[in-house]
Amino acid sequence: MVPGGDRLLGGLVAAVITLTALAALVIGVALYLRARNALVARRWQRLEAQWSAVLLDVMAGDEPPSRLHALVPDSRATLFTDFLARYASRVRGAERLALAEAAAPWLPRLVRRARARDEARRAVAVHTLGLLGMKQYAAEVVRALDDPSPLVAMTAARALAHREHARWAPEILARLPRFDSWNRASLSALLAGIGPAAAPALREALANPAYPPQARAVAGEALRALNDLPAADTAARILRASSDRDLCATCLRLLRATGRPEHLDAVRRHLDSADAVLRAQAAGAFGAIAEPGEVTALLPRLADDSPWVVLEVARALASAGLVALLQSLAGSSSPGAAAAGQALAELEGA
Amino acid sequence: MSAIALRLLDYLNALVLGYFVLLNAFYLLTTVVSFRGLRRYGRRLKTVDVDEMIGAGALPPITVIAPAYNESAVCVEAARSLLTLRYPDFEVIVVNDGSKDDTLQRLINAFDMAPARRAPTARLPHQPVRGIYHSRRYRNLWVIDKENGGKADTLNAGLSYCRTPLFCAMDADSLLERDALVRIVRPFLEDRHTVAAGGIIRIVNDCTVREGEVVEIRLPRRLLARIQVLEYLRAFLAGRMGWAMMRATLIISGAFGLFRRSVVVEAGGFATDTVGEDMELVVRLHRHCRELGIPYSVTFVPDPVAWTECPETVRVLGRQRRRWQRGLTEVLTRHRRMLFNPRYGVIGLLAYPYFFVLEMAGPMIEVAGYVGFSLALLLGRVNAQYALAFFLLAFVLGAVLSVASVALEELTLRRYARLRDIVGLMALACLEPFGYRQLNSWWRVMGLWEAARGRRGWGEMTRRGFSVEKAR
Repeated sequence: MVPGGDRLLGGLVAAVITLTALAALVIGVALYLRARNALVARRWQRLEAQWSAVLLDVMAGDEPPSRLHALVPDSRATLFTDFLARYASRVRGAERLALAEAAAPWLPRLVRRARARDEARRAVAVHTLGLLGMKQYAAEVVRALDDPSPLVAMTAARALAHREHARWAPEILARLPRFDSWNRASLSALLAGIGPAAAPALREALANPAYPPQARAVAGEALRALNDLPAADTAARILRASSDRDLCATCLRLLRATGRPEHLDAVRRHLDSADAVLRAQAAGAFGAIAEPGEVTALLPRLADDSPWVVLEVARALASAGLVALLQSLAGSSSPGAAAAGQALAELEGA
Repeated sequence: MSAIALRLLDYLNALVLGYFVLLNAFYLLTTVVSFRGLRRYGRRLKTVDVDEMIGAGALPPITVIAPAYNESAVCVEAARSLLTLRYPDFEVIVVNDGSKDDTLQRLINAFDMAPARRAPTARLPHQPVRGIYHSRRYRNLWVIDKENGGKADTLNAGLSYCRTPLFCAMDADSLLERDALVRIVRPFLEDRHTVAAGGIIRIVNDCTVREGEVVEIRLPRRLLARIQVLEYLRAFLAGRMGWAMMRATLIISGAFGLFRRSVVVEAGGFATDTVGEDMELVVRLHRHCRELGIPYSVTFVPDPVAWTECPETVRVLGRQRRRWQRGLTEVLTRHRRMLFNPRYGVIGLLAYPYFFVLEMAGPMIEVAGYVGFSLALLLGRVNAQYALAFFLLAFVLGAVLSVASVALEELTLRRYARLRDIVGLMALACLEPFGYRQLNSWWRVMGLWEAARGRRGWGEMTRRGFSVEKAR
């Protein structure tokens, strides 16, 4: 017999009863939620079907946006703006304006939601304002760039990073260090989405030594995506002065896209870098900038330890038109044979 | 029975009781934490527009590496399914691991593959490559044919030819949902230090599959498969989500995970000498990054889904569970220096001890507990009422945890549209502790024993295959 058995037994029985009640409660809640969700979904479907029928006419300009207003019960305002936002993300121009007009009476409510306690609610509100309320409430979206939640701030940046909102580019760039934890490639694609109008501000960010190297690298990648030729001089200057690996790799990629022969010196010094990423990028940039005759200088680098460097050298040879050389390499048993074969295949594919 | 033996029996029962309390405390903890995490995740999802993400051109390229060994029945359909993934920039590399059947030929015929040149991008150890093929019809489909070396070896071969910053490791017989890559890539966008993310695995048995896509989700007809649905929900929604919330993800399923290529290559790729290569890689990534002071994150994302076929016979299921336990044991003993080691943070102090004590050694304690408790009852060392109450408690607690997993599914993801499926899962939660749990513990003890004896190899998995309207 266990000492203190009665008390223990009593405790066990109480625990069993409590847990059984808990299990029943969980089951009940789950089933209730299932029933409620099904009901809500059906109700929403009905409402959305009503709205959809009129919305297409509104977007086509056959009906005024106010025609929709009568179909929106006040309690369903959020659902309605969410519904419009789904369409708004897929259209531009007059159709987007029609949707914005349809949403107009409920936008002040979204502004209030953009200050809610819950970060996800704020983010959704900012996202919707970005789609439907930029005309009246752009300042609210810009304000959200300083929201303490990175999710909200990034949602605001996404909402602002469009060609039609290019004037806000400096606001986003000024806050780039805030987005340090985000993936660099996706941030730079976001900035490039603003279009060439953002290039001056991006160039300024790239050149600004007071900025963290990560933020400068993001600006550099965006300039590369925009094929911004004037940025090449800045990139070459950075390559001569900076030792930051990511920033240098970005500048090498930028020069590969936009560089000129006078930038070769800046590239050359990285061909012998101890870092394979920089060597590979330098080989790529060198191949893109140098005259075809000079590219053969890369040949010894086909024996590099890094497969990436070897592949970039092979690609450089291919882009310089040294096909016969690559064919003989591909047929040999030299270390660069596979890379040469791939570069040739890519050339054929292109 | 001698007094010493009786005393030992009492100690054993106390140990089992302690194990029971600790195990369930962890289960409760992860369930509660998961609940919060899933709700938060669900709210955040409202800010995500998959179409916008795809259209923005801001997603990093991904290589999907699908190892295939004797997958003749499913390889074409699985590859076709991968080609229809909604992702702006991805390659598919199917790696044929020296299949004895016509897997390679079927792929060549189905996708008009021709021999091609492709330079390796990493030097990882793997069996020799016999040929590389590129589809003339699909520019992003490649097949690497290599000599047989096992799954990890096959993944290493695929990884050696991967040229994108991220790669997705999966099973060739799994079906990824169309948006799975867009969804699983999010942690890599939001945190540039993310090195690995796992998705959820769901069971496809008896669901309707059309053109490589699961179009109707329903519970399997067979009880054994149904129970596994419940197990998977519990493991992923209540378990892995909870661990991820505590920043202590130690397992990413081999059926679906996204990894940063450079870090995996630096860490040496997949280990070929264990059947738990998926967990081993994640544990090694933790070690690698912690020991070199690299900021990193390993996480779990609850909505990208890979559908997989589960065993439907006791024999095959037993073999699978023994293998899982063997893999777990191999990995945890290999990296035992992480155990209670503060250098590895929450991994060393919480996750590793949990898996080492409760998941690895746990089944042994549990089976010993069944025997010891029965003996104690027979010998009158335990009061019958007390024993009954204890078993009732264990049963109800197990049921609560299972029911909570179903509720988590219902609260957040709601993939089972039919009410009777949800009710069926709830009912199963009450049935599972009788028989299945004990059988599972026995298989896991056998797995431990096999690991102790140094047994190697995977064993065969018989597949029914899925195709157009087939799995119904």
